[in-house]
Amino acid sequence: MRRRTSMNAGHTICYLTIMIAGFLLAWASICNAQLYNVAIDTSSLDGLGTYYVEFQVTAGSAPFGDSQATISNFNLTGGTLGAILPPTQGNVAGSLPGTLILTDGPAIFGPIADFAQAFSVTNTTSNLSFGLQLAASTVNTPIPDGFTFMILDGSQVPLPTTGPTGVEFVSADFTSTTPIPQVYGTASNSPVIIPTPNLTTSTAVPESNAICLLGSLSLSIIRLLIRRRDILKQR
Amino acid sequence: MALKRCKYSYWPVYTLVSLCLCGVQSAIAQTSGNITSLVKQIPVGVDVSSIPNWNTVYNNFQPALPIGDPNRSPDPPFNFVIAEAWAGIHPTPGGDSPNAILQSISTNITLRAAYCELNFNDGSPLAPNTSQTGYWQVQQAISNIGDQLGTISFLAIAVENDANLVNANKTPGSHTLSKPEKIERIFQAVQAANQAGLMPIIYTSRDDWASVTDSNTYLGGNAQIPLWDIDGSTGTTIDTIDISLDFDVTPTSITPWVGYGGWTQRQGRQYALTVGNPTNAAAIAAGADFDSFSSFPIAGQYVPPTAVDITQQVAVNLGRLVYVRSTGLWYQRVTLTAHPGTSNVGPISLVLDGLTSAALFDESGNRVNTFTKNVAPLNSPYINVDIGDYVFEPQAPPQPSVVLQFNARPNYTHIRVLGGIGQR
Repeated sequence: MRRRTSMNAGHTICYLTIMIAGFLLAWASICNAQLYNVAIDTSSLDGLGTYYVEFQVTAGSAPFGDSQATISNFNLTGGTLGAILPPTQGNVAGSLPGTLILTDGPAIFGPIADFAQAFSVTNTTSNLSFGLQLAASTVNTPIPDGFTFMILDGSQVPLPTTGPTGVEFVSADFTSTTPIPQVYGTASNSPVIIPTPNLTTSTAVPESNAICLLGSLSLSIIRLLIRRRDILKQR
Repeated sequence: MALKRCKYSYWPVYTLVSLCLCGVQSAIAQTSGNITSLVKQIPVGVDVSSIPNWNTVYNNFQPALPIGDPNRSPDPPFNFVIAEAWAGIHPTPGGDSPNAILQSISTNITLRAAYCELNFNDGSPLAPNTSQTGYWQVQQAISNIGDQLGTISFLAIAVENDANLVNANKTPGSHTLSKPEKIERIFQAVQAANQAGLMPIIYTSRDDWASVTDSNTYLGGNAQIPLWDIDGSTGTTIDTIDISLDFDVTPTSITPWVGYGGWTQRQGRQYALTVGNPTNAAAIAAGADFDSFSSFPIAGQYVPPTAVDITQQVAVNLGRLVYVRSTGLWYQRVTLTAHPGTSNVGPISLVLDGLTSAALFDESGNRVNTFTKNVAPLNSPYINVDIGDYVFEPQAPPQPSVVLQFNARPNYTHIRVLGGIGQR
């Protein structure tokens, strides 16, 4: 009886370990995502009042919580950031101009992570830039998860662009675990002209990757120690 | 093909000649005694809605035969009326709505119909800066007909190379339709008529059909859509000869009618728009036409063809969902790619099965109210996809696509692609 309890506990620990390790390995994949640098010429918005940046990650088909966008190094030259535009929806962590992480779940957060914040431009050489990492642990079909970056006017209406749904300046369908973002400029019917954002890649490896891998390694060692203890008890 | 023949065989075949021009009858009488005899036995008809104050014209119109003539039709003297339900650019230029006209027409009139004149220039001010598809234009016609829809035997789709409909009056910013896009628009109109349960008839002339469609042969050949032929000539002689031909009077000088666009016969004929003499000048000026029909279905008994499920021949790429705060709508672009080696006749529709969590809206933001009623699963909303041609085949990018809009996060379970001019 005692031995059986010990075995059950061992199994539970084993399963937990596998789950956590799986999560961390998936997380390691996310951490290992390519870093893209996005630069947008916002000079045409000079003196036109309040606009909003809006970042959005949407869940497609199940499962939820397996895709993530990380915005870092947010910088607005020739302008100022304003207040956050409520509501912030879903699994959003961090804030601007610091790092912002949007995840498409898990289900308790809902199928959308959405964050918007006001800004205004006061200089004819204004530029908005940020780093973007996109990664998923699984690819969902038939509807993929997605990342969308929009700019809203003072009435919170997206500026029309040449993007797939007519509103996105930067977007990505998570049709792979490391999707490549696409960039679009304003459409001909837009009241202001913003050229297609400049998209470059960075060779820097995010340091969080090492932390994730270290976590996975630590859990494996713990699991080995528990197993060794169980074997000793049985003897 | 056999099914279509069977379907047509159900129609009660009437021979009906509608005349509105006394002068034409005089011309006929001079040509052939046999035709005069035939004309005495036929009723008189008119395109009512293109005539301002049509009721006055209707009542005062002199029947072909004098009162008291035993061959004269009972009052009213018409037995064919066709109401203009959509004039390409405007609803109806005549004043009275086709609904009011059809309501006030005597039930003695055997054949009542309506027509939808297509624009190919997006020139209607009712929908500026939008693609005024064949679906949209037929929908305008149907809306104008209103509760009289069940009383009409067919909906004529008018294809004319009128400068006002093809080039002029373009909505600023709209693009000039290519010939394949014009053909697609005609197919869309035919499909929309079928979807509404109305038999489509193509109203065109040899020259117009060639100009607009490069003499496309699918509708006249494979699809067997009836033709209401406009005589392309403007002279009186050839019109008279056509009448002789159609009513089996065979002067030695006549030239047999030669088919075009896949049509080898004409269900409807319109002989002249400009034939006249002083006695019928007023009627001509009022827009009266001279028509005859060999056969037509009884209103409400038309059985439309069925669309074809081509889902297995198409790659459907679903894009990510995007939520827009200002509209509260979710957007999703769907792209269609034909598999190599496939060729399917359009128009093409995208069907969302199992959509329960949200309502579907089209790219103009209008709630979609078209649902499958013939190709199971039924009652699924569908949206039409412009493919830029009447056949859907592998093509160079960009591939045809459409942006779906939903008022909540969608949860549809299956997506289908239907093609062809049949009912969805």
